[in-house]
Amino acid sequence: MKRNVSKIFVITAVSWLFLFYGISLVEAKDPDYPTKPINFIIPWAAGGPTTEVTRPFLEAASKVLGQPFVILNKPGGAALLGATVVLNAKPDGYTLGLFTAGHVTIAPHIEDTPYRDLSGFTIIAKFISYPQAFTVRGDSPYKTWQDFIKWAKNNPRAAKICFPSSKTKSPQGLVMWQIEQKEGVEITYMVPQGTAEALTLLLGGHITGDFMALNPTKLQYVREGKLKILTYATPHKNLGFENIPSLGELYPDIYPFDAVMGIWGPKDLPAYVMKRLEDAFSKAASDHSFIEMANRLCLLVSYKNSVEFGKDIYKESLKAKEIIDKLRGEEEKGKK
Amino acid sequence: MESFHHLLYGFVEILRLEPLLYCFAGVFIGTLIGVLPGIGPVGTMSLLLPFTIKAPPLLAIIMLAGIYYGCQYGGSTTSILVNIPGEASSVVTCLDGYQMARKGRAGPALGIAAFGSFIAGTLGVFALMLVAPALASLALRFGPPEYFSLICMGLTMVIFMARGSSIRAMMMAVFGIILGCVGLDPQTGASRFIFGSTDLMDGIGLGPFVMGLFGMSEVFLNIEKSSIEERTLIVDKIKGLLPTLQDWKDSIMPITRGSVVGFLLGILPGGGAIISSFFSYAIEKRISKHPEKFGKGAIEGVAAPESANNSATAGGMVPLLTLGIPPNVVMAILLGVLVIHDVVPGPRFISQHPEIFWGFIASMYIGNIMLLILNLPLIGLWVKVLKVPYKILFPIILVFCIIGAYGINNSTFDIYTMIVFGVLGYLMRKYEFEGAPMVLAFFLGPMFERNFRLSLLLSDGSFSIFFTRPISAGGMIVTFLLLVFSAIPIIQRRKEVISIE
Repeated sequence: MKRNVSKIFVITAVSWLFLFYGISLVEAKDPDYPTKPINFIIPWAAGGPTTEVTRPFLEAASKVLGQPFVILNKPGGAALLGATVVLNAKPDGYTLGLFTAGHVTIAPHIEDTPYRDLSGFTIIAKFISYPQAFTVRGDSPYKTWQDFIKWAKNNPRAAKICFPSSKTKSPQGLVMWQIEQKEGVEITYMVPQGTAEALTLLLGGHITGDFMALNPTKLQYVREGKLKILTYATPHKNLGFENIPSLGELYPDIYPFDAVMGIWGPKDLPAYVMKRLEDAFSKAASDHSFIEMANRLCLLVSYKNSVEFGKDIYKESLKAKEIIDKLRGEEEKGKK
Repeated sequence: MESFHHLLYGFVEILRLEPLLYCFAGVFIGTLIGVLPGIGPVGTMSLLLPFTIKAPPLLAIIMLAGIYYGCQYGGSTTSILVNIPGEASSVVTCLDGYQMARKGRAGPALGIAAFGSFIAGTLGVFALMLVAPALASLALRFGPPEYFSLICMGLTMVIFMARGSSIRAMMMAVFGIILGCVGLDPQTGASRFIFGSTDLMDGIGLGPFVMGLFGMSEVFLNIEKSSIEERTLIVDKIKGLLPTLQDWKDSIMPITRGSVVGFLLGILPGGGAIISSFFSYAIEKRISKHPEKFGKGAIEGVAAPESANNSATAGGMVPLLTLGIPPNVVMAILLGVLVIHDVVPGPRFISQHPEIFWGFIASMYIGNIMLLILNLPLIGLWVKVLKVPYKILFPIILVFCIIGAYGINNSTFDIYTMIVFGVLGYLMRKYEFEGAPMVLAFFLGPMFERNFRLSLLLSDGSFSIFFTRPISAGGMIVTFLLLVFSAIPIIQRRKEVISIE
């Protein structure tokens, strides 16, 4: 009897050992990802350049991943609604989203956004930069940036410049503020309703200039000489602006807030998901149809992986907070 | 004339199977979307945009534009039949169109809407063809002060829109302006009346607002009516399906005026079909010899706005095709489509891509004809819908409204908005407060504020900017005169009351 018991004991123990070994083998191998389509939240209405440039990018990435992306447009709340959806999603890698650095680094410092910082998100990749151009009319008296600054110094608040959103909410606003401090000029900030209105105001001679994203229509006007670019942020080599100084060249110590488009997901995405996504996105960034679409829409392809991009965003967020605090301080003192 | 040569060339481009199919698909989808409440041309065009990427640019814009102007044909259908505006641009059609339907004249109302849309649409394309570049440069001279004075004129028209008491109309307008303030301040990003909700950051949605205020409230009111006979009696009196000769006589001038007003307002950024329909209704009422007919089933009240919103679609294309500047969201989508196809509209567009420009123009003529042929036979069908017992009809209407509201932005919040305004609209109507002035003010309020502030930024705080610039000064004078002329009858009545006492 004793021998049978010990035999049973040994057999059971060995079987369990094999079982555990087998399970450990299974666990050591990463789960398959992705096995179904991935939801991709774009926090703007469909039909805009954002969606249209993201589409070929995601198509290229899905070729690598083997599963398609399903684009879901969730506009609203000044792009924060879409961000909230991503924030609250399950971190299984099947819900990702699009964001721009502006509303990530700047918005939390200003409004009651659903998130105060980026800890709720995983930054996955950057893939687009919007080139920002400071544009004036072709027939305006300022031939160069320096001309403009000289005039602006002598005429405080006479320069009426359009920005894509309020001073504290757009990267251009924060950059311009730094320039104002450095050069001792004061301009009037105006916020039109979209680039179309800004273009109308500029062409119609109602404003001095604008500091907004470049788009194909504007570019056409520049090529024809009806508009002139005095300086720009983000070197955009394809457009032939070698003889125009970039903001980086003019003011090397000003923090250049980059207008970017990036991809994020909820926090705590598993490492194997991140690996596959980064692999797919880095390959997609060199996809031919994506690059072509980006060029058509005057967007600059610019890939950065999660680690690099995460560092950039963190730095930008701190810098934005610093400037916004200073701005608020000034407002309270009644200066502006 | 040179233009006609070009136009013939355009027709040659498109009188082939593929372009015609795209055109038909566009206008057909557009009509359906126009009839369905909620989802509008913007949403549909955005959804269909990816399918047009592979197609040649001309076909892509033919189809997408067809959706837009086709929508303006269909939008009047539900306004007339069940007092539910399919689009914000069809709100004014509810005022008289529905009253006509209640008198058994749904057929003529639908008919004159279709014919008016056709005439205006065709005239609009005609104008686009001939005067586009000249008008475009005029549009550039409109800066914030000019818009401000235009909107001031628009807001005074609120008074003309009122069917009943002017004071109540003004109250509703003020309330509309307050509702328009909900959201983020565009210049500073400060939040107003948001109560911490991210959904309200973009403001109250126009679609759910209009659908609730007019559509849901209508359903609630009708459910409340205990007598079933009240509904069926009206329907039995259907007299004829097409407009009579008298209808045509009454409508021809409103259609013409509506076409002109619509086209001009469509050119201006921010304008478009919505403002055109409101303005043309108000103008018709103001210059009519029998303004008291309006709001009770005057066919002019259907003919004018329906024409205006169609010619506004053509007007909207003026700045897009000649300057590359889209005056409203729909045109921005068309711009996007063209850019994606590597065609950039601008001053050189017509000379660089004549086949696209003229092919497009030609397609719009054909599209309008297709729409007329599509819509006229449908009138008989729509009129039969009225015969469906209301207890079956209203749940269907509610379902469509809810789906429509959700479909605008994939947002359940929009559904709640619609219901809230449905209840509000119901209460308002029970106490005889009107919705139309509120909608107009809601729409104009934010534009009023934005242009006012931009103007003051331009002038460094001086109010004189509104009076030193010629166009703006003209607008302000007209506004002042309008106000004075509207105030006179009120003052006279007061005098009578006082003298009686």
